[in-house]
Amino acid sequence: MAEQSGSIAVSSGVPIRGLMPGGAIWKHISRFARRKPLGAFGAVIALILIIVAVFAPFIATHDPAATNGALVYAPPGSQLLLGGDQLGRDVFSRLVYGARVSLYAGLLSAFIGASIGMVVGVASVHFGGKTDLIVQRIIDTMMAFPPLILAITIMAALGASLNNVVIALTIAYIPSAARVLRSQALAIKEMDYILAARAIGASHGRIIFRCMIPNCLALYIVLVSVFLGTAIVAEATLSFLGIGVPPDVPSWGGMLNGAAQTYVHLAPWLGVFPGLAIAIVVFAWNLLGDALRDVLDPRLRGTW
Amino acid sequence: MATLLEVKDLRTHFFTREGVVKAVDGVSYAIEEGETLGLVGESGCGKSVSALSIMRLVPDPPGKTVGGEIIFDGQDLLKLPDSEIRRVRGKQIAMVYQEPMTSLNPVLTIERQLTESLELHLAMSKTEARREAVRRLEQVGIPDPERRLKQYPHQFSGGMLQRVMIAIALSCNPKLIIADEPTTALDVTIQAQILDLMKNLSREYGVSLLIITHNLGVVARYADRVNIMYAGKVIERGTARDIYRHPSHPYTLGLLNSVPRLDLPRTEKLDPIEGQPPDLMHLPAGCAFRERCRFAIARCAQEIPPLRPVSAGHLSACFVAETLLSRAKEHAA
Amino acid sequence: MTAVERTQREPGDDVLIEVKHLKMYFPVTSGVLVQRTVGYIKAVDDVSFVVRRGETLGLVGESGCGKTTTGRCVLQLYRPTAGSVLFDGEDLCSMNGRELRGMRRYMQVIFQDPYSSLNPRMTAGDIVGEPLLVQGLATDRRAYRERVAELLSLVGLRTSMADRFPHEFSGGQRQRIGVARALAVNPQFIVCDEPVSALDVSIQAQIVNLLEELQEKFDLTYLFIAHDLSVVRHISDRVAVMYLGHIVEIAGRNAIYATPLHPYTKALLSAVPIPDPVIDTQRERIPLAGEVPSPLNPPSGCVFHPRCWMATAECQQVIPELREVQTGHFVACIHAPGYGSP
Ligand SMILES: Nc1ncnc2c1ncn2[C@@H]1O[C@H](COP(=O)(O)OP(=O)(O)O)[C@@H](O)[C@H]1O
Ligand SMILES: Nc1ncnc2c1ncn2[C@@H]1O[C@H](COP(=O)(O)OP(=O)(O)O)[C@@H](O)[C@H]1O
Ligand SMILES: [Mg+2]
Ligand SMILES: [Mg+2]
Repeated sequence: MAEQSGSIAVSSGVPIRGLMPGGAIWKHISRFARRKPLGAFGAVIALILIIVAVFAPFIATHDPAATNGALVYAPPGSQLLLGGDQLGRDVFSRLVYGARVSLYAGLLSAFIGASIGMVVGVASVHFGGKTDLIVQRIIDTMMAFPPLILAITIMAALGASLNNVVIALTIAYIPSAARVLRSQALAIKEMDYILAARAIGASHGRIIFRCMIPNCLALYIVLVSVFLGTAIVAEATLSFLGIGVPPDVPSWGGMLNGAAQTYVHLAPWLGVFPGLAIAIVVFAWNLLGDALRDVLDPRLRGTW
Repeated sequence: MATLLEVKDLRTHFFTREGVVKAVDGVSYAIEEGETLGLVGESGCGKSVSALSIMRLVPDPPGKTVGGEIIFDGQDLLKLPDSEIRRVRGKQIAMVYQEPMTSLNPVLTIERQLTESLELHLAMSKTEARREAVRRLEQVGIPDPERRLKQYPHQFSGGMLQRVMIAIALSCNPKLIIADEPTTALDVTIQAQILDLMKNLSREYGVSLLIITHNLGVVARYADRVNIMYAGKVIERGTARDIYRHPSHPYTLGLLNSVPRLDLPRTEKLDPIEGQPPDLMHLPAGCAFRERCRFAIARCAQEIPPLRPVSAGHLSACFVAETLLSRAKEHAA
Repeated sequence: MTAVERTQREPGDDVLIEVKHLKMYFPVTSGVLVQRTVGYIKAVDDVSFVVRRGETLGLVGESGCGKTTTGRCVLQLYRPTAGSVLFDGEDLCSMNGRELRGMRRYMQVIFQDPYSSLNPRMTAGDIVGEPLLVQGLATDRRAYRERVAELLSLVGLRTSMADRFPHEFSGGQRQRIGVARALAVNPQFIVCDEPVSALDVSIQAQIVNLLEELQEKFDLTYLFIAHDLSVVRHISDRVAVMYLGHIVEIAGRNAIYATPLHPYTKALLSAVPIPDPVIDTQRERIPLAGEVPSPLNPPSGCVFHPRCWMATAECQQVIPELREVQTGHFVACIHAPGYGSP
């Protein structure tokens, strides 16, 4: 059998012949860039943002924590690229450093939350019966709290730290992800190919991970983009309440949440730039996610 | 008998991203008043699209009727303005679909769905429409119609829903009912009930029927004449007797031979038509059936065989139709 | 043991599947928080039959009468409410999940719907090869690939199609993939659940012929479920007729089509259309009034009595058991000739 053409070998991944020859990866990437320019654009933005976060000290023009009385509310332009905040700190440099916390917390909690939620939702549907009933009641209970309140409760138990923020947000997203993917999983469970998998003696793990989850990916991608935006802001809220990262560590959500809201009429750039940064992340993921969804869907193979 | 509907050289194509799908490509047929016409062919050969074209309901885009005429009651339906075609739909030509469950609105009672068109097309009052609705349900054999009117589609079985669909189709006294695979989703026992019902009502009211099906057996008893379609074209037409007893197109013959028959001794092996229908986007040159045909000759690859008479009222689009016909007659004798 | 089992299973018979008093009741629940069982759908209600090695047993009946459920219970895809299913003498119903997974090597299934039965995200080759991986039947990558290629060509597909996804195939080709998947483990027994119902007539014949060829080649035993009686006559050695969860008649192919004894069988046969206007209009039709009642509330006595033109007062009370009235011909109707007193 010839090498699998055109698919990034997600489909089923039969281990015996799923491996891709080394050079093929570049072929796939260049093909992706040609056929899905918007998706590639999204990927490039995401990559740039991650590079910015990693190399923040080299990119920032100022010390993000350095205050300067002369630059309080300095408008964007000559002195400071994106203006100064209420303590005269450089907004640009804070944005650059803020990418570290925001992307870390946002990406991790959105992806992990959606992933665990997907597995929980799908597995619960797969096992059905009492298991499903119990899982659903637990999810109901968790969903009775708004995600932020849930996260705050968890943070209170865990103590303040960036990693704990990620853990708290991840847990907070699991129930809604599980609930949303459940509907999809219920439809998939009724398909005969699930029964066919059982009829050949497939294990539970195989049915969940090979048969059901690949058919949930479209919804998963949408879910991640929803979570991504809210996670970045939620991290800031936790920090603002003093249970996240220390307030002097810059983050986009923190910038948006703090002085920006109070002084927005005086210095709109305090809100505009961090807001824009969050929007760009979500936008980049949407572009990339849309393209990925098409690429991962064998029905669209050949059209991309 | 006068001709009620005449479809002339109808061409409906779908303009998709991948190419042009010639779903209906030069189809002509006529339906006489009071006649039951069968339209038979494998799925995907363009039966539904040809019916939707008559009603001007082909989804556009990507579909477009690019040629032909549909003369109904002396006027070309393809030329009517939208406001007038709406008056033809439902009132003069009604449709019954394969899936009654999806063609009825699940959140409205049967009463609402039945009286709606009565009030709209026949300008009846609410009470009149209701009385008429009860009468119609009785007519299609639904027991306890008063109670049934208050119910929703999901409370009906498939067969009962199809009866409701027929009641709705009949409600405005149409001249033609197009039934697109009306019994495909039903059991044989229910299928017989529904077709008997349609045939009786058609006789009683002089309504013409166009019955579309992929199963030749279904319409043998009911159709006066039958059109066989293949890959967007009518390839054989004749009276039911002609078609079933003296098939003169290899495709018709193949269809008849491939089904096991209860009235004949059991054969050791079935005789299928090999291969599969062509892709309507990449039709081969010449006869579309050529590649699956046992009788193909060199000429079939070059020219598209025209639909031409082989005996009175019996047409076939095959170069060797005469040979087949005489063989069939010999066989029958 | 009732009379039925004794006689259906004759001494020296090579019985592969033996189903005894099989029942499958689906609970109907209501309530949002606390689910209460308010009744049972008796999809299969006390069904017994045997399938001999190498034969095809046809199972016919209107939709909703429990054919699919019976087939799935036999394979233990549904765990039956009661009864037993013996596969080569071993009771499948008493096996645990792991033991059953091992048994899947010997029994397989082909589904009705060629669209929902193939995972849209797997290639044809992966679908056909999956059973080999799951059952550990491929020793190495080469053996695996060769076996997949062999299976594809066995069902009449080109080996080069292995990398295509299901949506790139026609209905008939998809059904062939389904057949290849079932064959992958070299099973002895296959439940064919309406394998041709969703296909066009010209393609139906191709698949029926394929199934027959494979049966001969690999000595397969089929439980062939269908609602098309003409196809069932063609492919089956014996035929069982089901109605509302019960088997109402079982007999050899010729007996059941030449001399049907149960009124339901007669009505079913008379409703089958014959593609010949002259013959079809001359034939007598037994019109069957109404529809199959809900299995949630089956009629008392003989479940067929509300639709039966022969029903008497007795039929409303007595549940007729399946009795042998002629050699190998079993019927459950007190009015059937030779049935004796109820
Ligand atoms: N919306 C559509 N877009 C593209 N192609 C279509 C569309 N609807 C139908 N077709 C094509 O038109 C052909 C005829 O379809 P149809 O008339 O529905 O067949 P049938 O004979 O089964 O009723 C098919 O090959 C189908 O692929
Ligand atoms: N999983 C299920 N849960 C509840 N009811 C079911 C289930 N499967 C089948 N049924 C019911 O059991 C009856 C028999 O169904 P089925 O075996 O699919 O019939 P057939 O295959 O003969 O059409 C039907 O009334 C159906 O609604
Ligand atoms: Mg159609
Ligand atoms: Mg079924």
